[in-house]
Amino acid sequence: MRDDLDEERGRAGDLADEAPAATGPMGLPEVATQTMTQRQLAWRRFKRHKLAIVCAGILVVITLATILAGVISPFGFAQLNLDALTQSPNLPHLMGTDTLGRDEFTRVLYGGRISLLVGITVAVSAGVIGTVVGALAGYYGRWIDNLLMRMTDLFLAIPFLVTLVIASIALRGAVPTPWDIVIVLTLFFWMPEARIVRGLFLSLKEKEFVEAARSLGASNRRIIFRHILPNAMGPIIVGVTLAVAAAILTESALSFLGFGVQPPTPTWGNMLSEARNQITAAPWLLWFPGLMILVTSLCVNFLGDGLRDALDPHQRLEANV
Amino acid sequence: MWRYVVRRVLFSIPVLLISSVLVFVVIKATTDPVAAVSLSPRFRPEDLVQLRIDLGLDRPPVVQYLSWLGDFVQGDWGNSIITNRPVYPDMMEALGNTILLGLAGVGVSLLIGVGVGIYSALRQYSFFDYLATGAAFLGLSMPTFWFALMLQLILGVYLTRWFGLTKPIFYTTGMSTPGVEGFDIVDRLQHITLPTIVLAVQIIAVYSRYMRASMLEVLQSDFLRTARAKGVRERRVLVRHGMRNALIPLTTQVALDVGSIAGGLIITETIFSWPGMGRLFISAIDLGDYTVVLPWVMVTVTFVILFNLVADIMYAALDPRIRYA
Repeated sequence: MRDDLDEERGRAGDLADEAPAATGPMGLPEVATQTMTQRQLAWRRFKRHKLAIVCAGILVVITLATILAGVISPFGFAQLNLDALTQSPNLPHLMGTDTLGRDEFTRVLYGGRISLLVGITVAVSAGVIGTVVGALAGYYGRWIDNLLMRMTDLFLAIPFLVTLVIASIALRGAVPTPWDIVIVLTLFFWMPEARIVRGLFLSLKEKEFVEAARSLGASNRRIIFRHILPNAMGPIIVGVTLAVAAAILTESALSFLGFGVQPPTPTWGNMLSEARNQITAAPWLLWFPGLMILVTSLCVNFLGDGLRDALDPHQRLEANV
Repeated sequence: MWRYVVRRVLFSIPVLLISSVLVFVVIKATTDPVAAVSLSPRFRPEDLVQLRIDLGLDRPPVVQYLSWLGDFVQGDWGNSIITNRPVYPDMMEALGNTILLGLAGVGVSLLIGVGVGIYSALRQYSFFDYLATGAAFLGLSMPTFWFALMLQLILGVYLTRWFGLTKPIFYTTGMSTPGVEGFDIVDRLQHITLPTIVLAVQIIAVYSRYMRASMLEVLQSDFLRTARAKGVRERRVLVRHGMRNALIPLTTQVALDVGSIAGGLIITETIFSWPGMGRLFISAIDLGDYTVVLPWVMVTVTFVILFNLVADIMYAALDPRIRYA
């Protein structure tokens, strides 16, 4: 564990060096006690995490590339080319073509759209549900806590992929759209967040500032939203970020098993599922979508780690990688 | 201690019952066993009605549940609607294969993960520590199925090709070579290696981080300083006083992981055609063999609840401080 205290001190030193040598009213050099908001402090801590910055950059590039897929690539994702079947990577086809002559690079870009969209939407909506459940359980305690937490345990007990598969059977008949996948994934993604938020609320509600607010006559609603929630925001954001990586991995796994978004709409998962049949004939079809998933989830995880350092310095438990 | 164990065991009975109700309701609501055969031209509408009656689907839900629960507990799990084979023996065989693979994965991960974690903690912020941290991030971010396919490609296909072998060193599908009679340890190892690596990569990442964190905590503890002050040799301090205590949090995690094995290896088993629970489930879903799905989910849920119990009891037994929490 790094000594955060030392770093805090070191930072105060930096600050003094950087601050313009202003002079106070007595002509004495004013000691830099420029106050910084929490946000500025967090940004400072985040900036030191070089790897997280690099990863944030990579994620921005990937996201922009998938959004601008139509501009970047001259091909369509379902555009067949019978003159270029199963080509290994070459000049017009940067990542080669598949057995139908579709350009792999284009498909990777369009596939990324779905994967990223699903990942982010699931993480955010699951974060909201988890926060609500955790806040209610942690703040009100007693039977509400018992009920909600037993429900959370139950959701955690059922093997994850199984529920997803069963849910997608329930949706069968209709081909699942990306939104169906989002709903199904969200239903089984809120539990870790609920536990984190419950723990935070349990400890925060005993703090003096909450007692002070209550003695001033603040309502429960005000205490929850104005006093406790802002203090719990750091870990919540970190949790949501890390959930993005998990959601992307799960979506691709589900698509890979054939229960996710269906072809011809490409996602990284179902592209790998198709590539599996040409594992020896066209290994490049296997390389690129997989590498994209790996790079994206790796970057999201590093970003989450950086955010944890920045937003949640007390909580830096090394067990939660 | 015993009071705690008894209370904890008794408490898990209603949890199991409630789970069984929920599993029953959800599976009944989402799947229709007769649907799979209703498209077959060999079945007349009268046959379908008869099939419903044979399966007891015309009875009220509560009666269905109770009779199902009674049969389930006694090991009468009905027949597969596709193959008409009894479900129980097939599923037990699949469960055995899955547990074999799962324990291999967890076992290998424990050996490597604990070693890496302890070494990282002892040499905190060394090159090795950073390497291990990076590797753990990589392992956690790795899409399992992609990693499995790459292993098949590189260790299964390319390796054989590069060395011009007639037989592969590592097999990419199944549990044993067709034609191999009985139990052949070499053949089994050739088959189990790749899926074990796939499982281990993720678990090692988690275990090594866990172990590093708890070892770091123990290294700063007073009892370790006391041991050193008493003149205990450093090696003994680290192993007997340090490692043994640092292992406590990990045991809980291991117990939970073992519990999730039964239903948790779907992807690995599908890719390596390992004849276990995961493959049984996916093939049942693909064929619409829903009479298999209900006992399947029940078995996997029972496993999770059972090993939750084991984890709690082990934790209490190993660390007396948190027994009555």
